[in-house]
Amino acid sequence: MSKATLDAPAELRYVQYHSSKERTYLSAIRQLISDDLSEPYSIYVYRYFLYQWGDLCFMALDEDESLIGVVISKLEPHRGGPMRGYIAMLAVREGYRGKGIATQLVRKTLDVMIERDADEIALETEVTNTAAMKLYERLGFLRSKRLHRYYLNGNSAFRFMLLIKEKSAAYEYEDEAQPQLPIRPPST
Amino acid sequence: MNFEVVKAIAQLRKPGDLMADFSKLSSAPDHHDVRQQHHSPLPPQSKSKRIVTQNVTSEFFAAASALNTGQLVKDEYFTLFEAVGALEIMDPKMDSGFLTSGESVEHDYDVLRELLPEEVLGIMDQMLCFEMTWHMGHPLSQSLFTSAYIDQLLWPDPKTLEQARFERDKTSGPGNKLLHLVLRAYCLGLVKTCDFVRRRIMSEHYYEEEDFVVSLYHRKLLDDFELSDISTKIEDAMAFVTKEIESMDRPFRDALLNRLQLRKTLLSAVQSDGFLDRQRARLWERCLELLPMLSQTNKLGVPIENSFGIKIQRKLASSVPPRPIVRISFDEALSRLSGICQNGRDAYRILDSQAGTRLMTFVLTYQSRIPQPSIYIRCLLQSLVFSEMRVLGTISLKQLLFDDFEELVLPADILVDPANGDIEAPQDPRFQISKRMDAFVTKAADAEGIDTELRKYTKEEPIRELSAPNEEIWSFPLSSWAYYYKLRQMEWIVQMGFELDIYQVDELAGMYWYLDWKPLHRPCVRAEVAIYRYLQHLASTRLQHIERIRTFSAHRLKRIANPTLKQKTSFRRSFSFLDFATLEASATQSFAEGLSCLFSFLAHLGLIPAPYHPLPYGTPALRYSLRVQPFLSVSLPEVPSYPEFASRVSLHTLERDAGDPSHQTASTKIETNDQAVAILDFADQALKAARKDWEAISKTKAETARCVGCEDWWRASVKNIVRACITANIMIATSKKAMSKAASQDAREILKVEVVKSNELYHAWWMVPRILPK
Ligand SMILES: CC(C)(COP(=O)(O)OP(=O)(O)OC[C@H]1O[C@@H](n2cnc3c(N)ncnc32)[C@H](O)[C@@H]1OP(=O)(O)O)[C@@H](O)C(=O)NCCC(=O)NCCS
Repeated sequence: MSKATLDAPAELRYVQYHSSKERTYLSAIRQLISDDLSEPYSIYVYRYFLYQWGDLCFMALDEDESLIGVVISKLEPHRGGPMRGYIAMLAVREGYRGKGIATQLVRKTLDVMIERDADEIALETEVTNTAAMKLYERLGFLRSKRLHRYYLNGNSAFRFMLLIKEKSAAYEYEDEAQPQLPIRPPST
Repeated sequence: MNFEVVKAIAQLRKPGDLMADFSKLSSAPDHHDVRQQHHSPLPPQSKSKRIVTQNVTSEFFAAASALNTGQLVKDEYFTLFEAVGALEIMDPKMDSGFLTSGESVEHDYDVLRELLPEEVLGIMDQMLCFEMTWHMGHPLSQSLFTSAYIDQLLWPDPKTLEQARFERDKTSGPGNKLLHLVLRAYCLGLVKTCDFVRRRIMSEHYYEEEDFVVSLYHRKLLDDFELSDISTKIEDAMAFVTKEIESMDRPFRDALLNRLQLRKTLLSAVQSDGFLDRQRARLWERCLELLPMLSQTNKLGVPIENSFGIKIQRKLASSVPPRPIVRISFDEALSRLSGICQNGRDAYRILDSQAGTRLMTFVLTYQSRIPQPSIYIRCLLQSLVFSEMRVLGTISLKQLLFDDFEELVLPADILVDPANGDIEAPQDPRFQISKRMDAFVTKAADAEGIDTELRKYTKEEPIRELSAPNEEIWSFPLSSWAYYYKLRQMEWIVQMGFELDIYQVDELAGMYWYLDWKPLHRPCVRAEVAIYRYLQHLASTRLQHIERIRTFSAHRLKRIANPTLKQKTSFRRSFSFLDFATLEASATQSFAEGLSCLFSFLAHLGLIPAPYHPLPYGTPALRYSLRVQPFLSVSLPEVPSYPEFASRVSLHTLERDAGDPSHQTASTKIETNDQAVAILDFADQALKAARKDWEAISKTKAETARCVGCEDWWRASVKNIVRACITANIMIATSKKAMSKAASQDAREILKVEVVKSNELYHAWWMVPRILPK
């Protein structure tokens, strides 16, 4: 394990979200995430995730119960194919970064996804977000695509993927769905 | 921060997507107040008898109070896509109609005020910046359409060119000629240029939103008006400025004339009619010549910041929340414009490339230059390549393909004889050939089937090998052709991954070496996805395929008793292509092999970073699956299975067990270093061969290298690959020298490796690491 993970402050608690916690934490979650966004998401976006996949959301709380970090995810079949987990939002409060907190949060959400039978896990991050890319790469994610001008600010993103199970050949989706011309080497 | 759908916001902000925040109403501590506020006023009554309005506030609150906090109301078709499009009313960042107290709805700027020459210059240059941000992919609503002047010209929609003026309701209002004559002419020229640019882009393949935003927000870009009328307006303005000797100093006059001239020339350069004319290159050149003066006189201008305003966005038919105006500096705008003009001029060189293989080299070389040509230019090139069913304006698709078949697989063959098409008698084999070739060309129909059918009309003689005289080997020319290009494309896809920074360093070698924290090396071969190894595999497959094609062409040539000059020329051309393709595939193969071994060496000794070990999630086999996924649905060439792949990779690791390090026997440093040096020797051999090949390529004549028309860029690119190759050889020498001195030392104490970023490499496809002695 890296230094960052070993240094994670011991006094932090990692808590799984539950709808009963909405009144206590939702506005803090929103605040923490929107601090890093140029354009805010409506409350509906948060509810969309938390109501349907509250168990994939984890919060890092300090001894005063204030929110230090959060991860929000979903898990559903992707285009009728594999069960795909998706990490939608991840943030750690500024003064607490680089201590492995985000790594812990991501691992917790990954563990639940795997327990709930995920086939693969995806996410996107801005191509300049070194900290996030390092974090995901160390956990075993690979970059699978570069998404040109993906964000509203015109920046590009990398799609990161982690396979949990070998792909079944039956899954044909996304760009690979186009029929292949049978272009083969001439038989000898 | 990172929704798949973040972009969708733009399209989805429509009333149906609005979601009320139920919980705030039903459970926030002050919800009683909220209700109070909503209670009193009577609903406004519509004048129309058919519509009866009713105040539903209390029903709404009653319904909302039945929900728990955080409970989601949605049907199963309501996706994340739509959720992200939801917005909150009265949030200034989301609600485009939100006004702070005292704020007016309208943008406050008097477009009819008199302008000074320096102000006109300033506004023109600001507009140029916005025109360029639009070219860069930002919407008009965040660029040109934020100008009060442009807004006034284009809205309400002018029915005649005369209506497109600043004083929309009055016949003659305030303002001076600099405004009504000069700035207006400039704006008309600018808008019409945008019209041509947009139409060109929309007629071609491009990525909407990512590359270019076509949206006009229900405005028109003077598309109903003639270019000649607008040019006349610009000329009138120029005549006026020329005569204003009394009221304007020379530098101002010259600066204004320069800008008007640029507008006029640019407008002619982008116009649609006659774009295939080579003379267009001259117009682009002329624009380029005007730029230095534009640059020098920019300082004379006084920008009028408040003639642009974000509030103008509100008048545009758009469902997007307010978005910031995107600004770039004048210098940046100028360098963009200069790039467009240069590339516009250079694009016309494609008309010299003619044959298919040359055309391909041109397109690839031109489009991959850095900085990348702008979207408009890329679309212009596409139009030059193919429009109105003609390639380069003159060649039919069939001619192009036949020419390519001939060059690659069918020199002087009856299959590609254009005269076949004239035969009308079905019993004539050439009639049958023509029918089948057309099917292949137009429908890309089953190549193997057609190849098999064609044999009986061409009377093809199969090859029989001495060792197996009963086995017939057929040429399959069309399948061979298609397979060649398929392999080529697969190589490009792999190489493009380097350009896009998709691969991580530990993937490059094909394996990496886990080093424990303890001083003793505990090796564990972990075969990862080997990008360079896979590239090598593809290139060597292509090499074999070229050999096969050559064998059949040679076989056919031998059977022609007295070849005519025409036949000889055709064969010579084909063999020259095959020779060059062989050289190029072999160069690719060696370089890829060399780098794969070099990275293996570095990974072996822990000189490049390895991911966590054990990898907390995923396994090498799963990572491999993910990496080769784009190719899995390609049946041939088959993607090697993971075990097959892993065994090939470990060839260079001298058969080590892939597995958990705890199952490994600890080896000594000397042993590890010896093995690493052995890998280094493989790398050395391959990279020496690669250097020889790439140097040979760099000396190839333009005709042979099929780079006529783009020789200078092509040579520059090859030169960079040669440099990369030489650097790789130097890195090997450095490593060997250091290792020979320190047989038993920890390599990390004697060598240091820096992985170079893709934009700092000599060539983005060849990721040569920097290795330095410590
Ligand atoms: C991305 C983010 C969540 C990471 O949180 P964190 O708790 O600091 O993450 P961790 O400490 O678990 O891991 C981050 C790793 O990146 C490294 N890192 C951080 N900043 C870096 C930088 N500028 N360059 C290189 N590495 C960097 C850290 O050192 C650490 O690696 P290590 O363990 O090898 O030392 C946090 O930076 C954040 O909230 N950013 C803003 C929101 C955001 O970008 N979210 C991610 C969207 S996908």
